This record gives sequence, C-alpha cells and structure tokens, in this order.
Amino acid sequence: MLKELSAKVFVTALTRAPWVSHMNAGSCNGCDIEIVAALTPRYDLERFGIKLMGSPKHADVLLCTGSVTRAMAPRLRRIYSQMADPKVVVAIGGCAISGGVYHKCYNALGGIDKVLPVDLYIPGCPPRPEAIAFGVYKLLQKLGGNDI
Amino acid sequence: MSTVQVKENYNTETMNDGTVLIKSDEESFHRILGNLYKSGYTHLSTIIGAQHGDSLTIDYPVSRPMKDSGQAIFVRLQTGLDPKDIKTVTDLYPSAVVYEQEVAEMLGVKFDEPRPHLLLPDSFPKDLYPLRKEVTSTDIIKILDELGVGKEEPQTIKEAPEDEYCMSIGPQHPTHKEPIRFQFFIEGETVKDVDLRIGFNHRGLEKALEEETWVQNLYLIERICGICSASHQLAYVQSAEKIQGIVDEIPDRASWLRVLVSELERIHSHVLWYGVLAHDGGYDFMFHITWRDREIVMDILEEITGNRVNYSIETIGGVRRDLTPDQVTNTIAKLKELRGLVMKHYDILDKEKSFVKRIMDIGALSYEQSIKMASVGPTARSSGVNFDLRRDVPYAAYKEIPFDVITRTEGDVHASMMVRLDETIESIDMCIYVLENLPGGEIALPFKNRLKEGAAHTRVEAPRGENIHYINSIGGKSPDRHKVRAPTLANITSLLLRFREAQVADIPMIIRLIDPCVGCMERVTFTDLKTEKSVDMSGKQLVGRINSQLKKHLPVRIFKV
Repeated sequence: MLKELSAKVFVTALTRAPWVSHMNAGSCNGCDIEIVAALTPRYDLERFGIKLMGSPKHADVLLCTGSVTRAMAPRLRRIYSQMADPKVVVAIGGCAISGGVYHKCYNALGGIDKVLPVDLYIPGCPPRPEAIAFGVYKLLQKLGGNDI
Repeated sequence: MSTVQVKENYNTETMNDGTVLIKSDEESFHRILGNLYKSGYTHLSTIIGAQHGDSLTIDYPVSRPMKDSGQAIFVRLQTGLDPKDIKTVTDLYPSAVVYEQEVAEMLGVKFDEPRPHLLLPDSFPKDLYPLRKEVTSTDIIKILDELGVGKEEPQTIKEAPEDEYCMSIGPQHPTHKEPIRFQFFIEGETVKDVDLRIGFNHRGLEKALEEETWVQNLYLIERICGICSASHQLAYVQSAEKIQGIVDEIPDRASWLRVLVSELERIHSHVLWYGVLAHDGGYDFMFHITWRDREIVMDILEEITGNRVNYSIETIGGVRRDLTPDQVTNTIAKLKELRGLVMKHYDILDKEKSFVKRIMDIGALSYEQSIKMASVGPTARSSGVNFDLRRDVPYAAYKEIPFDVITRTEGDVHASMMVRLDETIESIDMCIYVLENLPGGEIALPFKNRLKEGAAHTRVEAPRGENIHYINSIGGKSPDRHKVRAPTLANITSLLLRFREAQVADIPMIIRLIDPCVGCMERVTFTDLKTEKSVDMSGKQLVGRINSQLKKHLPVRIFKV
C-alpha cells in the first residue's frame, strides 16, 4: 500500500516538474544550443515546470548529447550515479544515438546507450527545439502511464 | 620583410594558392623563423605536420597580425620518418607549445626539449601515432579497445602547495557548457596558479577526414562545431577551390551569399555569447531577452539555407541554394527589426551599472601579451590588436563590402563584450548591404568528386577568430592531409594568463571571455585516460613552459609553477 502510494507520488512529482541537467559527452555543440533554445522564451519549456539545473544532483532527467568520447565515458557514468532515483536519461541528436557522423572516429564510442540505459532518443542533427519539446511531451506521457 | 625580399633571401617555392613556402632543414629553420619574427611575423597560426611516403613535413605558417598584413608565409621543415631533436620554437612563439605537442603525439616528431606527455596518456602505445599513414581508424579502435582505453576513471585532484587550496572545475560543471577541466590553486580568494586539462571532446576527426571523400567531408567538416559550422565549411571549400584553381571563376553571387551566411553566423554566435555572458554574471533576464531575439537570426538562417544549425550551404565551386526576391525583402525586414533589438541590448548591457561593474577590469590582457600569446579574433581585438582577416587577407567577397574593424584597448571582459556588440551591429549592416546589392547570375560551378594534386590553406575570420584549414591533395577521392586549427586553441593559452591574481568569483566570466568552443578545439588533441600519471602531465607543464618563455622575453611573471 505504502509502496504503491510512494510510487504514485514519485510519478506525479516527476511528471509535473521534471528538472533537467545537461551533459556534453563529445558533441559538436549543435544539440547543446538547441537544448538551451528550447528552454528560452521562444519555445519556453519552463512553462511545463522543466528547469535547467546546474548540478546533476538536483535533476531528475539527464540530457546527454554527443558521441561519448573515451575520456568522457567514465565521467558520464559518474554523473549518472550522482543523480537521485528515480532518474531518466534522454539521448539527444544523431551522435548520441549511434555515433552519427563520428561513427568512424577512433576516439568516439558511438552512442550514449553504450554507457548508460537510455529512456528516450530524440533524433536529428541537431534536433529542432520543437522536436525536443515533442520528445519531452512523449516522455512525460510515458512516465505518467499513458499510452503514447 | 616583404614576400619579394623573402623570395630573394631564401630557397622558396609557391603553393597552389600563391603562398610562399620557404624550404629549410633542421639546422636553418629556427634561424629563418627568428629572422621572420624580427621583421614582424609574430603570429604563428599553427604547426602542420604531414606524412608524405617515407618523409615528414612540418610547416610553420607565420603572419603579421596587423593591417594589410598579406598572406601567411610557410616555413617548411622536411625530415625523415623518425625525426629527433627538432629545435623547439617556443622561445619565439610561447603558444607553440600546444601545437608542437600535437605534432609530437600525432606524428611522432621529437623535439629537443624532452617533454612529458601533455596530451596523450602514458598508457597509450608509445609507437602508435594516429595520423601516420600506416594505421587506419579501424586499427586504432581495435588497439584502444583491446587496451581498454576509456574504461577506467582517473579523477585525482592535485596536491596544492602549502597555504594554497586546489579547486577543480570541470570537466562537467555548471559554468562549462562543454567539457574542459581547470584546477585552480587558490590562496584565500585569489587565483595563484592554474592547471588546464583539455582533450575530453577529442573525437579523432582529422583521421576520419582522410578516410572520407571530398563531398562527404563537406558535411563532416561542419560538424566540427555547431556554432561556427559555416566558417569551417567556407575555409574547407576555399582551400579546395585554390587547389583546383577555380578561385577566380567562382560566381559573384556565390561569393556574396557566402559572406551573407558567414555574417549571419557571426551575428547568431555573438548574440548567443553575450546572452551566456549575462547568464554567467547572474543576469538571467538579459540571457532570456537575447536568446528570444536570437531566434530571428535562426529564422533567417533557416529560410536561406534550410537548416537552423548546420547550414550545409557551401559546396566546392559555389553555394547550394539561391535566394528568391521574396526571401531577400523578407530577410532585410527581419534584419532591420533585429538591428533595433540589438541596439536595445547594447543600451542595456552598456548602461546597466551593476552588470558593467561586474565585468569591468577583470581578466585583462595587454597588447604585448596578446601578440606574444598569438590570441585571435574579437579576443585579440579587445586588447588593441588591429587585425581582422576579412579586411587584411580578404576572402569570398569581403573586398567589395564596406565595414569597420572594431578594436578596444582595455582587454578585459567588458572590452570584449563591447567589441562583440559593435561587431554584431556591423555584421547586421553588412548583411543588409549584401542583400541590397546582391549580384545576379549562377550560384555554383560543377564539381566532379576529384581534386587536382596540390596543397593550399585558407584562413577565415570565424566568429571566434582566425580559423585555418590546410589541405594536401594527391589527386585522389579523399584528402591526403586535412589540418584544422580552430580559434579556441589559439586563445586558450592566453586564457591562462588572464587568471593571474583573479578572484574566484570572476573565474566563470574570464572563461567566458574567449568564447571557448571546445568542440572546435579538440578534434585533434588527445585525452588523458587511465593512469594517474597522465593527470599529472596536464597543463602544468604547459603553463610552466609558457612562464619560462615569458620570463625570458617579457618582464612579467605569470604563474607560480
């Protein structure tokens, strides 16, 4: 009973105001700017309670970009482990999904899911802010237990 | 020394793009560089290493950072495959230390000052040099995977000297938008020393460029960086056109459209920059205002090129998309609206006392230091270096477009903000001029997937400063060597000087000053990965070397090392 209730509270809290933290794991910067653009007044994801946090310890959602360079892979794991449960990982952009244009590069591991469990992929090179907003909408629906 | 005198005095040859190349050997190259330095060639853009069969060439492109400086001069040092005891040039150009280290670790050139690893990890195979022709990316991936490079986690913090405390910022930190690591040694609230670690964003692009075709590279090149993608693409296509010998045949309309996209990119980059500066200074209101208004440029770029971030507008021989008369009128109207808004930003940022006081007099760099450390772009111009590649080494259609080069002398964060604000307005005016006077005609020449044999380089003024691309073609489907040096790598050494005696609270603002773009900078530098030793090897040696050189040549002491 208590377990069910606390799960419900968690879900409500998470879906009403998911706070996000952003991590660049070897990206070209394109996706990172589009994430910030999605949070600023034109697209304004903040009206859904989504807020960019500096520290991953304050965040529920980790927005990852980039093809994961060998130097960043351990850091990515470490940042993920610092986040409080329940936590969600979103991979943004072509490189974060499969390595993208960097698939041939020797120092790129090729995708966030080589290192972390990913809950949502947003494709694009880079994805438009609308695409990011749409992805977030789908994610919130999924977390709330609704059919997508 | 003019190029004519250079030709008289030295054994020279001319590259495909008309660049004078002085041939030299291990004995003479340092003396030649010294002579050139004395006659004003104080700017070393980068060091280009390349393998040609069983010999290596090391090129030193030097230029004069002043008005009407003319093309760079290349000093070429030709050696065998295993060069040893090459004389270092850090006594002339202190910032060359990063470039020398890059050549040493990517191609196996050994300099006479034996240096500990700066960029490569100690665990990296000692005889594996990624840019050598014997290995392919696939081979390197296999070797690195077998060694388990990238699995373990070094996260040590250096021991601080007595009375000092080591504060680690990065690679992931709220003040950084991209991974880079600083370790500050602080005494109270004052920064005494700084240690820089780069390489977290290195992907190995230059190797990948050699393995893709000319056309594929168009799209790979612009993904070096999402903010200055057009400048990388422009530098690439211009170098390719120089090799092909079609520079004079490029249609006027294409050249003008190139200028248009480059300037729009500069506007979006500068507006983004001062927005983020305001954010770092705790002025979030301004951050949101600027980013709201920046969307106008993004709309224009999308309308003109079809994409918001990676525009893919350039192609070898011209541009990919044309403008319709409707688009021209629309764009002019939008640019005029944007000009009004930027004037408002200017007003707020210039007059808001609390913010101006926050950024005044911090991170200052003098003209002499700026020249010595070879800083580039708006960062250098805010220290009084009157140099802009658009005016002094004109490319595309910049010769025909009137504009002013903005300089300041203070060299602090405020000066660099004012330079960028003025440049934004200047760029908007340039865009309007381009659109109003756009010549008609074709937009591209046909290109048949292959380039002639030859070598060429291009320097373009990216939003952050001088961006140099060098291409060597052997007539095949892909380049033999493609070297990129992005502006941030040139500015990062000067950044270290700016921290001297700075307050801890000013650190984010000073980092922001050079507009760091780590994605650009690190296509070639290497990561420290495994052992604790590799963490020790980081920027301290770099700072130490720069210090010792500066102590010799400038009467200042920079850091306690």
